[in-house]
Amino acid sequence: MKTLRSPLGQAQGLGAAKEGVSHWWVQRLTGAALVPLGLWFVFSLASLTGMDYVHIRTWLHGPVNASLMVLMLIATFYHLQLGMQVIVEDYVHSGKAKLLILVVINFGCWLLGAASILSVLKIFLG
Amino acid sequence: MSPDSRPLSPHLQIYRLPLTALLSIAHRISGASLGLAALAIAILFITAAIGESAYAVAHSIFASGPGRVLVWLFVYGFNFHLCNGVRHLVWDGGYALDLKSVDRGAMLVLVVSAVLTIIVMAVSASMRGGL
Repeated sequence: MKTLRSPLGQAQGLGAAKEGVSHWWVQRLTGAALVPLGLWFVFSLASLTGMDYVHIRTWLHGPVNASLMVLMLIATFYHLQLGMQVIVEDYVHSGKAKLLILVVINFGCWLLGAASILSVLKIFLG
Repeated sequence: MSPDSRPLSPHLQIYRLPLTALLSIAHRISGASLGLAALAIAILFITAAIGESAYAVAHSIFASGPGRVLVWLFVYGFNFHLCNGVRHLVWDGGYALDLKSVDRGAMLVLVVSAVLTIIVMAVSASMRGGL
């Protein structure tokens, strides 16, 4: 079916992006996952007798703790990236600034996510 | 878009926002602030993986007076964002969208998030002998 958009509009990328629904859905999914995962995380740390080096490493040696922690980190950084994207899209309107900020946020979330997950794995395995 | 220097009528400065509107912007602000909390958590694990001396630096910052205050603020922010987030999910399901339910939900969120924070504080204090 031929699109009703003018060729100029299509070339300039105007109009709806048509792929916002997946963003909306994943935001809800990661948010729902973070309800139990986040509560588990907060109560787990609160239940430790201390947060020094030995306590943290001992806690992450348990396979359940390590896997839940990895899942929570994945959900957190995905949810954070999507949320920050919406905030930037709402308040930043200059095309170049918006693109730059969104790329930085994206890279930052991936970098921190990867580093923290690999750190948890390293502690779990060693 | 060319900048426009024509005057605007006062709006946010004078309008008394309903509680739900305040919670809405608080949800956004808490979400963005929790990004800083996520960074702090990442630093915690990364330094713990690097070694004892690296972790000691991070730990001393979070265990300091202002560090502890920040951590508890993060805990409250997390609980608030969680409760209000659940409220959003309820709305997404199509429930509780009438004005009365929205207002009741707002009070519920404030109460539950405060209670949750107190519970976490109690658990932590009983395990460590202090906040």
